Amino acid sequence: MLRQGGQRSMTGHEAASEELRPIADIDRLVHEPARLMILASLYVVESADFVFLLRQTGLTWGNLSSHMTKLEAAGYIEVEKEFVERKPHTMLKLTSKGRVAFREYRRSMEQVFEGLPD
Amino acid sequence: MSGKVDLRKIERKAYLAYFEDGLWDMVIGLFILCFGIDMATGSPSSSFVLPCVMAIGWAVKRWITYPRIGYVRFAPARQLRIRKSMGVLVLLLFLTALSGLVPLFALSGRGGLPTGLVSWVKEHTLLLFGGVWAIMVAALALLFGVKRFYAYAAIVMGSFVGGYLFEVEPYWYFLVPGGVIVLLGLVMLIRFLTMYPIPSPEMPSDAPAGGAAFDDRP
Repeated sequence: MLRQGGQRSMTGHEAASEELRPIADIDRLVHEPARLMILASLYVVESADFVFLLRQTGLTWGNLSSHMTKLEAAGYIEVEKEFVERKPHTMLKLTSKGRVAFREYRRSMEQVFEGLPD
Repeated sequence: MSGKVDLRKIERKAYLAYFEDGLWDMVIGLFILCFGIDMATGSPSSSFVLPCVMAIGWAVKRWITYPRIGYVRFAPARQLRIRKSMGVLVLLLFLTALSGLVPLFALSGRGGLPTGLVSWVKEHTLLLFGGVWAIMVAALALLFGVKRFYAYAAIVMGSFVGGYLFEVEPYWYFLVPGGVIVLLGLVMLIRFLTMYPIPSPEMPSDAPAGGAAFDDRP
């Protein structure tokens, strides 16, 4: 199965041995450290605004913005306009698809390194 | 990669970020300080000052804290805990006020309390009162999960014990810890303002994670 954001050729992916298949199956969109930080931050809360994510992740404005666009395009996060203290505010939320992707990524990574000798 | 990624720790850190501005510290300190001022002046200034402090605190949170660290809506479990904490806080305030009446009741000689207990209360009224205040502050630490509030509880108790031993005017029992806690809160606020300027698209990231260094390949 070729995951979201993956650019690996089907031939290379199919050629991977059964033992290495979990690595090939890892969602590359989630695997990128900056996006992983964004997803982890949003996973533990209901929603957060841009500034909060900026502080939590330590990314630059432009970098965070670009990663958010990619995650939104993949349907992993959604932008919600809501009222905070009676003022309109843009909040970012992990979609159920994003939540599943993050959970699956965690499981995959655990499986990949399970029983690995030191 | 160094260390284990603990999602609960991430959530807790996000929650505790809202206590970094020192506002709660100042509110606690001012609450105690006002009580001391009331005792020293003999006029109930706190009834006027405290609502003002609460209003200023709310404004600071909205205009200073949120633009700097952002706004987060916590998961339902955390939200429920916050609501419960606020409920317990109101109950604690009520019990603290009520506990002030117990020594008065005992001292009045009514209520059929044993003479030994009445004389003990008479002798240690302020110490008893200090204990109640210290428990109140420690309860705040427990409710909000902010460890430095335990230190404030110790400061309050220490001040009452010290004041009792050195026989100083009772209002100092409140003025000293209240003043110290307000000052600490002020230091925290200044540090918060320095550490967290309002972010803008032009501002480079100063956090150790260094987002710009990340490989942006898909």
